[in-house]
Amino acid sequence: MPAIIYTAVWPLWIDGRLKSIMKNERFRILFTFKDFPPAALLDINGDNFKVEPIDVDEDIETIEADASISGEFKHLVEMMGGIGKSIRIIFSKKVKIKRWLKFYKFLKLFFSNKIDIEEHKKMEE
Amino acid sequence: MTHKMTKFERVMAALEHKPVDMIPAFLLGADFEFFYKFMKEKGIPKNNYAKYIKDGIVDTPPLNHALSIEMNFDCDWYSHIPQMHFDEENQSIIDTWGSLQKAVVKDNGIPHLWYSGPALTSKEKIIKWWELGMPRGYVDILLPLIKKRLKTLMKPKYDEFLMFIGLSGPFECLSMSIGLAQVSKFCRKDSEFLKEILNRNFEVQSKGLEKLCSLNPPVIMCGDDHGFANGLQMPAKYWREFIKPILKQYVEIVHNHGIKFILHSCGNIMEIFKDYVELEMDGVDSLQPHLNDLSYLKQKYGDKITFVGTIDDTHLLVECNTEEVKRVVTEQLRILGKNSGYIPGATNFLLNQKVENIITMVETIHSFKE
Repeated sequence: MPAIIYTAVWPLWIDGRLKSIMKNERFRILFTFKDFPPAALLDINGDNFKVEPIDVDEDIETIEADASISGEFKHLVEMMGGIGKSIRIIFSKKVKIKRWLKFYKFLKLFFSNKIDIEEHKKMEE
Repeated sequence: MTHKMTKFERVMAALEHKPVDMIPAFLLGADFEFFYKFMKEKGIPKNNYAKYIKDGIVDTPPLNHALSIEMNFDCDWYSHIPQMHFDEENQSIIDTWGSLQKAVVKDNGIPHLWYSGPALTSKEKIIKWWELGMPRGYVDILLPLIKKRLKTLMKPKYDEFLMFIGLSGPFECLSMSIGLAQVSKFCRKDSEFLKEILNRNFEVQSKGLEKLCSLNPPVIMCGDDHGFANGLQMPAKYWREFIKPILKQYVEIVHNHGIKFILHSCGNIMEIFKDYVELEMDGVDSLQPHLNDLSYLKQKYGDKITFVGTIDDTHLLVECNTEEVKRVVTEQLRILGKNSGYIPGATNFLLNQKVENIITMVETIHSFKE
């Protein structure tokens, strides 16, 4: 799961969307899909991010995060179908979200057209 | 002189061996590493990228149509994703056929998703896999998204860019899940069991193909690497006995819907090229020039089948300079571009190729006059 989350977020970092949306915020999301271990803690810090593996047998509740999502892996795949599809899956309770508004901000990253490639390039230099 | 064509018209004309206003260029896909290089070295203008995101054509590599548009290709590929599960034994992702996939992050921070080996390494494991209800199928929830993307790319603002869609072929699903050693063993000693695996897979594949056909795409391209550097991955005799009959049904399903069929196969496929022609495929992709005698194939079958790919992705586009790329591509265009039936492009997914070489390749293809 950690490598999958990294793979999904990495293009957003490269194309500047991460910076445009997150500004200088720190934001942590926990992904727990017990049929696809280990869990993953995505830690976005402004323009940077990292993903840490978390043992699903650990007491997940004790992990400090701003939002979390849990459920079956196949539903995470279904959420690739767009923001509308994602929201439908969330409302159908196929996946469980904690701190919905925070999670929505993360979701918007994937479907936002707010990008700042030039700024991203400058930062890299 | 032919009138100015849209990308769609150009590609379809090439597949029908009709005159084209310029030779169309094809991109199989661009992996994370190439995406990284492209964004660093060239980048995509902010307004264009915002439009691509809004239109939903930016996807995770290697399926990034925005990149294909930005590099001025005429067509690219989207392969339908099989269902994925978690394999306890190998602590890895496993697809519905039983092949292991790995998501890794390289030391330079660039991610990579690829096949890592077969999981069904014994007859017992194969039977157990079936008992679990596998293979199950594809991530069909993505079908509406594929349909929307096909439609969006075909809009005038993208000059009717053509996305080929498809799924994996019978050999790839077989060999990547049970391994070549077992394929070889079953060919010789347990052919009925091998046929059973292929038939069970085909039950799922045929339904997947029908669903893709229902989206009404102009072209379906299926990936099924039959070759490797020195020849076929299985003897031609066995390929004809076990794989060809299934592939024939692939082509028939697609043609029954009035859709064109292209096969993507890497490696040296000289020995079975005539079989592809016999199966009435509309095109064959990859055709690595250093592994196949392309001028011979063009001379013999060029009026019957369209040649796709053919530009060396491992040496020419990685190590050479733009002048050399221009020279070699022009040379190939002179031979393979005769009488249409040619859609050149790199022979595999873009990975570590030089960005300027890809741009030069496309410019050379488009500016070539027979």
